[in-house]
Amino acid sequence: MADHSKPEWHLMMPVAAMLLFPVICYKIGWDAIDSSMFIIAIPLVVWPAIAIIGQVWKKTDWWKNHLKEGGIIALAALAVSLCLTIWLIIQFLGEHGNFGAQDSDIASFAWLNFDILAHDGVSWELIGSDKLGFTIGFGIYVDALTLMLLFVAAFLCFLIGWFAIGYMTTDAVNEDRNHRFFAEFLLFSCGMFGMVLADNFLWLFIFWEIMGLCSYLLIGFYWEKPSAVAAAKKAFMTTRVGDVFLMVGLLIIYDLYNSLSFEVIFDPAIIDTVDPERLRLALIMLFIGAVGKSAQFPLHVWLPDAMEGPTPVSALIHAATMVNAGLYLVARMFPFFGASGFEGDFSDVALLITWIGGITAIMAAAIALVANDIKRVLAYSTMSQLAYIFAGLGAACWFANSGHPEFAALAFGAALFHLFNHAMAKGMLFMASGSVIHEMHHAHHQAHGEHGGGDDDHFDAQDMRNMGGLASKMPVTSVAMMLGSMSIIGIPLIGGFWSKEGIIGQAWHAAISQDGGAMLVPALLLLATAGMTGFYMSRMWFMTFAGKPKTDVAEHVGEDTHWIKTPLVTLSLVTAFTGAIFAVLNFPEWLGEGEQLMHGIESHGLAEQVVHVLEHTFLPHESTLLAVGWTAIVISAILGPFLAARIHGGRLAAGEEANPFVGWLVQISGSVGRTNVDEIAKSGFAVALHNRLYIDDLYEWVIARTVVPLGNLLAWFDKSGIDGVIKGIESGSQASSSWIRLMTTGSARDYILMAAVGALCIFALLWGMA
Amino acid sequence: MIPPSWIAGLGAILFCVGLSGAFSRKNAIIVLMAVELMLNAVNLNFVAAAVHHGDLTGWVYTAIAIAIAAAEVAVGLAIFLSLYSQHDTISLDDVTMLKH
Amino acid sequence: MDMMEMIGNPLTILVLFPFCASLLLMLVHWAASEDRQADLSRWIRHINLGIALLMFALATLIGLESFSVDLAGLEGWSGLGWHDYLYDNCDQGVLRTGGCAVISSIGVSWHVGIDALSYPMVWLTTLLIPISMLVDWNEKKGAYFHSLILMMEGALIGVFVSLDLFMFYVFWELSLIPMFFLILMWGGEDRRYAAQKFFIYTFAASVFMLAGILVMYFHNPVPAWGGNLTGNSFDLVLMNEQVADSSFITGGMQSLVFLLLLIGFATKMPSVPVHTWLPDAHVEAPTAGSMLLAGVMLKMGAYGFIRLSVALFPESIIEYQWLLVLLGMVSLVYASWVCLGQTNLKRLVAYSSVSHMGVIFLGVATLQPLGIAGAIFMMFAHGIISPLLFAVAGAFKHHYHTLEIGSMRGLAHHSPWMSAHMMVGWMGSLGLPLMAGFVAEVAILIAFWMTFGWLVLLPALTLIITAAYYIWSMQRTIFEGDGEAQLPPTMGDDEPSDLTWHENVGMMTLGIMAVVFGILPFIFFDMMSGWSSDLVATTFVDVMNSLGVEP
Repeated sequence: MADHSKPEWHLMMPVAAMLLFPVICYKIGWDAIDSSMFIIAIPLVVWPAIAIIGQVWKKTDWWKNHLKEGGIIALAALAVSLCLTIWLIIQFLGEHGNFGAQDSDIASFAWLNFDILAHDGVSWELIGSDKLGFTIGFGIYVDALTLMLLFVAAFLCFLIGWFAIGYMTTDAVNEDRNHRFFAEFLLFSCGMFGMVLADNFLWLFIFWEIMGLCSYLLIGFYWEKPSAVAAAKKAFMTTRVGDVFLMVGLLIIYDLYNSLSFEVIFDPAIIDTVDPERLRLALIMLFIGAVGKSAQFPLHVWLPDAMEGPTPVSALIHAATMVNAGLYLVARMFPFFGASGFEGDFSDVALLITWIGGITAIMAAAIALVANDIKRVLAYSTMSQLAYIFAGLGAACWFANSGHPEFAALAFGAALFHLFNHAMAKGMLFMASGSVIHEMHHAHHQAHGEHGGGDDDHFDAQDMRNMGGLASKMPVTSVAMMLGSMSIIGIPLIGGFWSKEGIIGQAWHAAISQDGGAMLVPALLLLATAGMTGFYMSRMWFMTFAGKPKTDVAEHVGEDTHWIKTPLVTLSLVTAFTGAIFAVLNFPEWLGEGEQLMHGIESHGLAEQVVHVLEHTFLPHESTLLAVGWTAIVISAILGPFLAARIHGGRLAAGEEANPFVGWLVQISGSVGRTNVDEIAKSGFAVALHNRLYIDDLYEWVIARTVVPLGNLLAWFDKSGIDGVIKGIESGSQASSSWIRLMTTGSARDYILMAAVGALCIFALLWGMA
Repeated sequence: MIPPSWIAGLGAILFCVGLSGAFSRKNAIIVLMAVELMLNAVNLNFVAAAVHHGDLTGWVYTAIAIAIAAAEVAVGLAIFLSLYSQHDTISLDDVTMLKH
Repeated sequence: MDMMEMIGNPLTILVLFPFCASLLLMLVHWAASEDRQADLSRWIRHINLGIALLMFALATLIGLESFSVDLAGLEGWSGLGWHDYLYDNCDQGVLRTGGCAVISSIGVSWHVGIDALSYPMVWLTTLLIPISMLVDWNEKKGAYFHSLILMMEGALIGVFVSLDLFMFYVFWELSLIPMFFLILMWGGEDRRYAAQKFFIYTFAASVFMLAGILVMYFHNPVPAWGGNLTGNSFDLVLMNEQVADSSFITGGMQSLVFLLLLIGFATKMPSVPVHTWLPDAHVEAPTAGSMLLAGVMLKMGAYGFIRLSVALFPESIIEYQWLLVLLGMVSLVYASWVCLGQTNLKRLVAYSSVSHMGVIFLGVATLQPLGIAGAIFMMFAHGIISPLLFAVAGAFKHHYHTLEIGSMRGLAHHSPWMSAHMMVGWMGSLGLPLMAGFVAEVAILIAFWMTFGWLVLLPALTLIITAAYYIWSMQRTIFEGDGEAQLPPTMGDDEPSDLTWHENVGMMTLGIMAVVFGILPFIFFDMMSGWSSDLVATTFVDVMNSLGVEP
């Protein structure tokens, strides 16, 4: 196998070549929104090419080494999409967001045309005067929300694709099947892009399902492992349950508005002209779909198992993009809550959203406290952070529906900003964990040979109890992971801090405002979770990177694979700085209210804006918010990491030196003393947390008791019952036929007798009639 | 003249005799004879009708019936001969090859 | 009847040419001497395929030409009224004087035509015949196999293009005969039972349909038909006119005819409870037979139902709406659950066919143009996806000598192409968006909600069950295997192999078609939508208003 540490920049040439495509579009004179359909179309066309070419030419040298089994091609396609996305953003900002929902002539087409029959109280007739007047079509819809998610998706797909080239092609177990990986990866990207760009709910749903399919395929990538296949099945079925409800919600919406297009439905003149009761049901149905896709309680059971997929899959689908689909859907539901005609009607839906968010957040954080697999910790962290965003959106919807649009906008903006921060940080965290696992694998192979130390050796490269002290051996990864963890924890000034404070603040604001009593519990849960987040993320970092190596494998870990480092470095920079930058740029307000970016800077000047933002965040006016804000900072940024350091921290082994970015952290973690928690770790509650609070087992028990036996019963019934009737007719007719045949005795005398009797009867009949 | 009703009556008696013979006898030839008896009884009926109406048509029918009876006997005897050469019996009790 | 005019009509060619050609080819083979027969078999197979492809080209040309025709201000097909037909070989004047008559004494004519309802079916048939021939290209099949398939093509197209009910019935029954022989001579172990059951069951049900047709016949007078002794005719166009005038059968008689026809159509579709012939027939039939059976023959039932029952008896449809919903719902839900308990691959797909066809009843019962169009599109979509599934099942049987799910694990090891096609087929069948099945389902569900409200939850939740059995089967067949495939005991010492190129090409074509019509359904959906809109607007609306039906 090639030497992986050699930089292979020359392989990026096809990618650079593909970037000519947007340039061509620009030169032809198309503007960004017309070219935007290529964001979806190019991956859609390229992915089958990768799959088929890869399948046919999979063992050749040029495919494996020059095209990295299709990785380069995929990366090229994603680069084009990213480039077009950036162009779209630039143009959108340039026009100050004044092109809202646009119909691109090139991109939109009519998909289904039909008529509707309706009863207008007097008689039935077809609505409208045009034949086939109703259309469900496909078009592109662009607003601030779209662009943010599109950028997140495109940027992360690109970087994770880059990462995947390094991760997948240097692992022997993946040899000759990476073409399938890259093809499915690209299809998934296409699905995500399509979903955020679609201009109506139906196409949102269609691309939603496409992503579900790819999730199934990619989780089950190592299909020879029964655990992976089972995890894929679980993911598909759980999201399917949610999807069915989503579809019902779509049906209701269609019936209410006679359209599924955003432009029509969200028109202020039309949006509140329908029956709020039925719309409420539709919103709940849509929310159930979102719950399934974003792995919230009670449809969360698939996310931890989904870690069976390769790490790039986990990074992309389950941290950065697909699970955000549910959030996107709820964000799209937001205008319903704010419509003036519905004021007060949907507060229970908003409360539902917030409560589910709160419950999931604390449940996931609790389970993460005891998880030993590094990817599992991140999975539960994802679940918990997504719950934060749901809670934030719920608070926003609550505010909107109770007539406080300005607070609603703040909460909405904070929630979506958190989505951005979380996606960037979590993507990077997964990639970093992938880097760790990858290097642990390599070290294990080097130490024990390709097949490990015999069949008894179940070395789990993902178990943090096998790691330790990696800060000196994996500098880039340790820094990346530190920054990512800080962002998730909400260390002040880094990444997620800016958005998390906003969400917690707005949730409490809702709880203390009039009629907001029911919001108190979720707000408390969010606060508690913040502390737990601080603990478990720090625990993860310290167990992996600080202290002394716990196994000999960990002693030999290096950081060689080239392709992996670049995305980590890029995202480290993003995580460290964009949080603060965007806060200064009024990013949340831009998302929430449509205020211009740079508004603050333009009106106050840069330095004043910075001060204003800092002040607004650290010293809000409301006293409750001040208390809550600082409580959150203390327990998440100080208390949590402190406890984690006491339990799992420690200085590196003698002679080991970590780079300065993380060295200070390792030093501190070694200086806070130790606490022994073995007793707590064995308690019943800890065991329950290890078993995921038995919810998975409950579902499986119910399904095994009801669904499967019913299927077998009905199969038996069909064979014996319904078909039994047919077989009964068959045997009955055979039996009666045998019975009649007894008349044919073969004896001539009997026949003469029968003939005579028959003739007599006829004679009597004729005589009677005459 | 003999009253036609007497002729028809004789015909009826002969018919019943023939019918009972066809029912009850085992030997195929005897059954054939019984069938002949029935046919001739029918002939007598035709004669009675002819006498009654004084029409030539009745006598024509009688002649035709006699001819048909003769032909039928020939065919029947041929069948029984073939039967005997195949199965060595013409007892109707033994001839059950058409049994289901 | 003008011979030239009759033969010049492309639809007549589509029907009669394959039929006669196949008979000729079979005759040639039968009459040839022993030593020439082997060579001849190969030639005959190729000629059969060639003719089938020719018919496909012809059907596509007919469609392409009609798309650009401008009718009533709308492009092509959408401008047709519900009882206007293209390529009609008997225009009104000729028809009324018996110019097209074949058996003029009882009023049977050779009247063909296509419209938005039948053209997709015709195109589908001409598409499936060469593909099924290709997928089952085995030389061991002998000379008659492919000729019988070609004969089926003639009979099937005859059903779809006939506008005379006598001819309709003749072709309906005629299609049973080649299928019977296909199952009997080239089927599985239990083929005798399956072939007999198939034939007798559907034949018996069709007799009820015949009774209904005869009643319709006696209500269809044509006074000026030369040579006509009974004063009635079987012609459908004349019946359509009567319905437009509301002078066709009404009242109790209409209910009776409707129910008689329903028995015949429901058995063919099939609908629960008269569906049990299908699993046996499918399991025992050879691959090509199953593909055609599922792809086209089942659609004959749905087609007949929409063409005759829905178009001619709107009052009965409204009166028996509850029955349609019941049959459709039971078929859909019951058959899906039964799928969960199946271990035989072909039986699984057979029951899934039953459940999909149940959706068609639901679509019609909504009485919405969208629902009816969705039902027609479901006929088409299912006609692409189901043959794909049966092709895969047949290939599975062929390469691994078993149909038991779970006896073969880790299929992806040895047969990656087969696994890929299997997955495409199953994803299409469970209604994955961007495949044709989803379009039909979405259309019907929207219409169903509009008419029946929350009852739509039942079909929607069944989608979960559908996903369950497919994913479960996939898991047990394609995946797992723990590093190495686990071959079934029936393999003996044979090496596992992947698809032959014939099978692969056939399956890939079907897969591509399924995706094309999923992404661009409007190719056919617009015309179906136009047809059903016109039907609803001109007949159902008046009937519903006059009956005072409430939403």
